[in-house]
Amino acid sequence: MSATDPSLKYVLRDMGSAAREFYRRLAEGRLATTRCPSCDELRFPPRERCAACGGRTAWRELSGRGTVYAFTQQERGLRFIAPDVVGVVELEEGVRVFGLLATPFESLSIGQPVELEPRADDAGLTLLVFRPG
Amino acid sequence: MSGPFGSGSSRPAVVSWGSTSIGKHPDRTPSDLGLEALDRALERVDLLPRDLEALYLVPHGYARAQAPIRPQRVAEELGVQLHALVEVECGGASAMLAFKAACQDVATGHVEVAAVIGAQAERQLFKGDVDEGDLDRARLMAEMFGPYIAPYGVMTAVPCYALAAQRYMYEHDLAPAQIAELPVRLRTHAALNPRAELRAPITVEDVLASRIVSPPIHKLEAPPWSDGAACVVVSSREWAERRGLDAIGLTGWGEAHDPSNFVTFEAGLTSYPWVRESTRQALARASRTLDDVDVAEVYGAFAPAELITYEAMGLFGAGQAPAAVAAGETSVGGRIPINTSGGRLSLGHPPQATPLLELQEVCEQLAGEADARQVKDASIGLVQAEHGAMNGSAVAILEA
Repeated sequence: MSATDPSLKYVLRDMGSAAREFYRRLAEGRLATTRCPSCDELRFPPRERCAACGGRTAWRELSGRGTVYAFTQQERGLRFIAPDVVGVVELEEGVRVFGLLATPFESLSIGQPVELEPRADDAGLTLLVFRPG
Repeated sequence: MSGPFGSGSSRPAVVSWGSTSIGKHPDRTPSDLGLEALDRALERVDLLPRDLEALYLVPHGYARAQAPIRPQRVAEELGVQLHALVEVECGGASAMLAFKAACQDVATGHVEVAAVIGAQAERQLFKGDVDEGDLDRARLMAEMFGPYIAPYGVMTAVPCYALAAQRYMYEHDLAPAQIAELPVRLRTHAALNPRAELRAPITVEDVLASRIVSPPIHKLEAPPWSDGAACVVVSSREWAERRGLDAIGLTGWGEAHDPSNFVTFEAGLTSYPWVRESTRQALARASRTLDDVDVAEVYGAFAPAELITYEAMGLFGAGQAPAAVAAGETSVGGRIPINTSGGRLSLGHPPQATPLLELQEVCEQLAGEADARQVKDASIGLVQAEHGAMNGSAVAILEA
């Protein structure tokens, strides 16, 4: 990761090991989160240990397909990324994630199918960007 | 009778409260405002700074950079020897949890009397030229939203609240005008509260005509980012009796935190189970039910979130709060008056002081000092505070 935009310098500096692994995989185009092998619980955000049984979790890849759960627009701040529509997507595996929706706000609706198109960002991370699927 | 902390004579009670005006204080520091709120709380019951044994503080907010180890400088300004000096930080709930810490130290008998102070004055920050230091502070604030939200440019809690608002309106088929009724009702309370920042009457049309800050939230459904400070003084029952002070007892405490940071991916966005659980726990410990509560202050940082909070507390069914508000059930004179102060939307919202402003309002009501907005015969009050957007809640039950 090499960042030319410093807006995420503190986010990157304090990122825990599960988040670093999440973004390392995403940079390779693989969306994944953790599941507990004994409880079979799939959780997002990813965690290194299962809170229920204490066991170590394993990474599981996700399809990147889902539906729009909720979406909004932000007033512009420090870090503005066109088109600035953000939302929560419910993935077909059942977990919900936060991401950019690369579609005009007016054209979106709750329940609309979307799919992931990861996008490298000049702040040093590959981001979750969803397009109508 | 025993409370959530301690029993008999050591159980904690609120004996005084005070605040600054809420709004703009461009030339005052948060410490100055906090000490003014403390002075008012002490003067109200003829106490002196030297009566205090302990001080519970919260940070000055998030946009304003704060040097470490601030409590000792506040103690120096106050000039009093103390037996406890504490700063508590947990987002918007900080001052509520500082109040809890004070009550705990009183309950164990470590101290008999303590002041809790919350202050914020950030309104003028970033208003002039933004230098590299300010920009770096903004980058640090963004980290608050963590690795899964901050990368998308989220700088404030507003878009997180907006997602919950959209989902709430979608799930219950609510129209914008139904949400807009709440700020109108809160303004009628604020009109009767000299402390409130916004007191001029508004209509549903005004709310809907105000600009969208993050769809579907309108500006008049959001709180002003206020400056202000508040203080409550907590003591043991025994100390209050010795000093001849009226005491409002803490009889219930409940608290629940979702394992999430701002966006509750797993719990969904519209049911706030942590509010339900903290309310249930507090009422159970006070051996009370919701029907016993005469007056309540809830945090409600945005209109839709406030409506969801009412429902999560158990007052109304899912999606039913807007109709109940429109029917006057939460207004003074209604079934359960909520946010008689005007709430965050009209009283004003200096987050680091807000839980103490809520405690002040409920204590005034229970003491019969709320003047034009007095709830008749109020004797049992509820205060709810929260953090995140929102994903954790604390509830106190207070009884005169």
